[in-house]
Amino acid sequence: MSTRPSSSASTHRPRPSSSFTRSPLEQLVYSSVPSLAPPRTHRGTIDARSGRSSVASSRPDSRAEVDDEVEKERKERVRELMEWCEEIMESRLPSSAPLSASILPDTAKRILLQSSSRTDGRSASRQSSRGESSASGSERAMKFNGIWNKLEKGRLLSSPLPHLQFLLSLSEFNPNNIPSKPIPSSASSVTGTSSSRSMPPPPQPSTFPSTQPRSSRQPLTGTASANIPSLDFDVKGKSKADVLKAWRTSKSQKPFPPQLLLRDTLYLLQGIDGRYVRFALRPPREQNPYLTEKGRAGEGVGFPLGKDGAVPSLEDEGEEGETVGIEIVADQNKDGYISKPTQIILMQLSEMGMLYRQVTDFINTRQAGEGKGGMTEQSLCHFLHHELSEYHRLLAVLESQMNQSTPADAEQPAEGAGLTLMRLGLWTEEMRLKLKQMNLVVDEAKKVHGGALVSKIHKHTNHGDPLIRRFTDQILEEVSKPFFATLQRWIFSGDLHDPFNEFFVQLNPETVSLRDGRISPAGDVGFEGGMDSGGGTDEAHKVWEKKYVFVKSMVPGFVSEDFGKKIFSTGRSLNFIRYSCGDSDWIETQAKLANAGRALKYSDLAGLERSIDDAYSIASQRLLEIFFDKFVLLEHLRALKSYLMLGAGDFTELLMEALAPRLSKPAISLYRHHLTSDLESAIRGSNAQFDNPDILRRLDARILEYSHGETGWDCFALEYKVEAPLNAVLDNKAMLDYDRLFNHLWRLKRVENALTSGWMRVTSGSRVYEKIPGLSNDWHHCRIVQSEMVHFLRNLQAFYQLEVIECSWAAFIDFTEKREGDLDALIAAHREYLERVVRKVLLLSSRRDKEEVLLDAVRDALDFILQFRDATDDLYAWSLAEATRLDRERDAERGLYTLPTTDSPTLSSNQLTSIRQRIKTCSNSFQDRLISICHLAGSHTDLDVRFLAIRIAWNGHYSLRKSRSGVVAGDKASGRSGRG
Amino acid sequence: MSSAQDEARIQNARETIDSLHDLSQLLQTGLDKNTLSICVGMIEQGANPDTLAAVIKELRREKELLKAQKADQP
Repeated sequence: MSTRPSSSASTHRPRPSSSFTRSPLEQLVYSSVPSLAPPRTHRGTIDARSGRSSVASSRPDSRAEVDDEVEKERKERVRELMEWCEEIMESRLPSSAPLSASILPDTAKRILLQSSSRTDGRSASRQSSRGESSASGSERAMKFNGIWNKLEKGRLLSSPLPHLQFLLSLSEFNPNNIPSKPIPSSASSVTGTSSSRSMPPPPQPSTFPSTQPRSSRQPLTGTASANIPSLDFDVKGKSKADVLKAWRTSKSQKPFPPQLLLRDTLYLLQGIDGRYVRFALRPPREQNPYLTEKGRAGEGVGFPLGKDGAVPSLEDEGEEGETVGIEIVADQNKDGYISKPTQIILMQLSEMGMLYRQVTDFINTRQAGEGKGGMTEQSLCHFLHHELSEYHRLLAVLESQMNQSTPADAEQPAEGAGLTLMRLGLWTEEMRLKLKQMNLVVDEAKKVHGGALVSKIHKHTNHGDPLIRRFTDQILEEVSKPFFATLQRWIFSGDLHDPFNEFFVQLNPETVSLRDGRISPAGDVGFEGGMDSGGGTDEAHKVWEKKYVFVKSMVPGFVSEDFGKKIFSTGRSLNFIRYSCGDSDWIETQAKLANAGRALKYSDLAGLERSIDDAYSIASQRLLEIFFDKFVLLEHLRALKSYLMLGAGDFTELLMEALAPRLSKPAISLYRHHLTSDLESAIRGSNAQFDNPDILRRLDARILEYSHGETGWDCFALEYKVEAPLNAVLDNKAMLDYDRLFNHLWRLKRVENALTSGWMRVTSGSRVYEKIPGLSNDWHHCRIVQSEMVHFLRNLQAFYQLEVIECSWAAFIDFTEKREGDLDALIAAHREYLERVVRKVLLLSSRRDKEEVLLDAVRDALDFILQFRDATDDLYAWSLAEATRLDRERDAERGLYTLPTTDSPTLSSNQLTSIRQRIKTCSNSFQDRLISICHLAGSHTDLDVRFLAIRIAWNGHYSLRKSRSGVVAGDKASGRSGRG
Repeated sequence: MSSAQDEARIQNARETIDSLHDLSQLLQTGLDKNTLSICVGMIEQGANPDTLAAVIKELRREKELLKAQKADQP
């Protein structure tokens, strides 16, 4: 439907530009008022048409002066006239044409048809002087059709409609022109003709021209037989409505004057109570007729509208005093009756008034500052305001239509001219839909705000009605403006400017204190940083992780969640660069972003995605660059790997050597300054001294919490200190993991060390006790078990260093070389790397309750190795003592003087038995553990760990032994492995 | 642009103006051909038909006024 075409069309009128060619307006003036036209020649025959020039011509002597004077006066006059005309042209007269331009030809035809009677009775002389309008109305209508068709087909005019409108408004037949005619008796003639009309105009069905195709109407009204159907109609009898009308008339109930109803309706449309019809308010609960008896909705009581009326049980929702319908307060007996269909139309029309009221209420309350506020709401109000002014303009046009048609309608209500309730409904149809939509949006705006509101509105863009869809797009364009402003600021400067919490990124309420605090890198993180610096180190991670939160419910509908995350990350990266990485970085980043900045708006979603993608990649690239280049993250990670995961063998060896005597003592006798000095000497002595001093100064030795009876081995830890912003990646949790790793690997190293030194001693001293009878078997057994242990430790360490740590590291390096994703991706990659290492080094099982079964077994095995070493040491000492005793005995036999021995052979043999017992127990336990370790690792969920089992038991030795021991002492072995 | 085409255009324009003039006669607007063609030009350029009609009416009133003056003067 294309309504309201004309009221604003006059704004761009061509202005006269050159002085030589006259403006059309001037031409028009000369053409219609010939007496003002300029003389043709400058001074020749003064135009005879000019009244005053004839006077001048009688006096030839003063002719020139008079001419000048006349010319001047004429020009003055023309100028005045022109000004006046321009003023008219620029004014916004209410359009006289019907709202729908497409019904113009029909209007013209109708006027022509009616004209026959009107002009016949009036001015025959004028018609005869024109010489052609003696034809009857229908003939003229036919002729009009012919010309009109020709004009419509012609391509020269852009559209013939405005021309027709122009001609029509000048036409003498136009009823509007009659009073304004210069004929003084026009007013009386109108009344005269209407009263003395002999033949009523053919009753046209009140038509909806735009709903009926033109072609179907053509034969009815376009031909001379236009009257015939109406005649048939009369013959056939009257419609029910007519019968009812006749009955009412017989009961002396005249119909209610429609123009009064119309005026009231126009009031209703503005949300104002009319004189006869007004809005019904929701009655207080006790007076509500619907609550007690639903069927009481009689005439004039009030028409329930919408959901409230349909579902009375929901009435608690509404407030008292809310508009629920309309109420007809006219005295129907006095003024006339209002038929039921009319009431229904009134009710339907008044819906708009109600909607208007609600929308206006919303705007008013928001402007009064009673709402939650918010930029989205403000822009919504702005848009609604604009739309409502459109609505007001429409109402003004309608009103002017009504004023024009009032005199005609007074006598012939069924006539199609002017405004009727039906037309009102038709012409406001579009507006009604818009108002409905606005009301919907307003309802939503009361509940949610900000991004949620935008996404609520966005849901309507999938509406089936293209009109609604377009309208919603308009709303969205306006409403999303503040959103995009915030967005722009967020993704281009990392600044969250959102005073009303409307954006989908919000400051985390828990960490508001971090908002402005610029985290400066702590100056002293050296050895003296101390254990108490742990409080401050977590900040960068917290800033990155917790400073802003992503509020999913606030993401507008047109931004997908992934995309929203991208936006979130972009702004977060920028913010992080800005506040946590130092000024120079920020300036560089800003320079890079400068050319990515573009105006964002709803209608350009593709451009939005592109610019956000750009900003995202720039920001995250930049942040990664800062991390890798400025803060040498990789160097730190490498240091962690080589020092905390014992990758640097020489350093570890030296440290172990230096610390071993101290750590063997009880934990209580440990002092940190001893440890740190040992650490320093280990660094000096190893390749670590060539490492970056910045990294070395972060290395620190620490004593963990210890309980009574623990040795230094249990509570020693190497520490690596990180500060902001590095601890965004190396957060507390990661450092804890590193600690766990160090703890385990350190223990392994220590056991290996102990075993190696024990083996060295035993091997070098073997000459001494070789000759002792009865011991070779024991030593042989010891050596076998020892080598088994060495084999186990070697394989375990090789597995850790080669299979686990280096492989994970390689995967991590692969990721960092690509430099994709944002800081989140980096953090995730590091975490994955660390988790992989931890899981495999600590041999964690995926089963939740038995996570550390294998680790416990390994630890037990390590403990048994230590015990075994002690036992072998004892055996070694005993062997030495025994060797000495035997030597002495031999000396005594040879007659040499010897000191009397205190220890008796029985005592020493007792000792030997206990030592043998210990060794046996230890080796048995160790072997049992090893079997169960192999078994557990062989069935581990992790393939790499299974591979470890294969490495240790590469020739099937342990499975063989297991089955053998299973046969010999089945219950014992299975009991152990079952326990493990 | 060939002259034949121009001629056809001119012919077409003349026909259109003629048709509009017929229409104006039919509706008894009282416009002569010259005025009509000026008005058609203005409307084609986007003038509001209603206001233009108002202008014409004003001009007519002015003409009547002038006529009356002329009748008074001699």
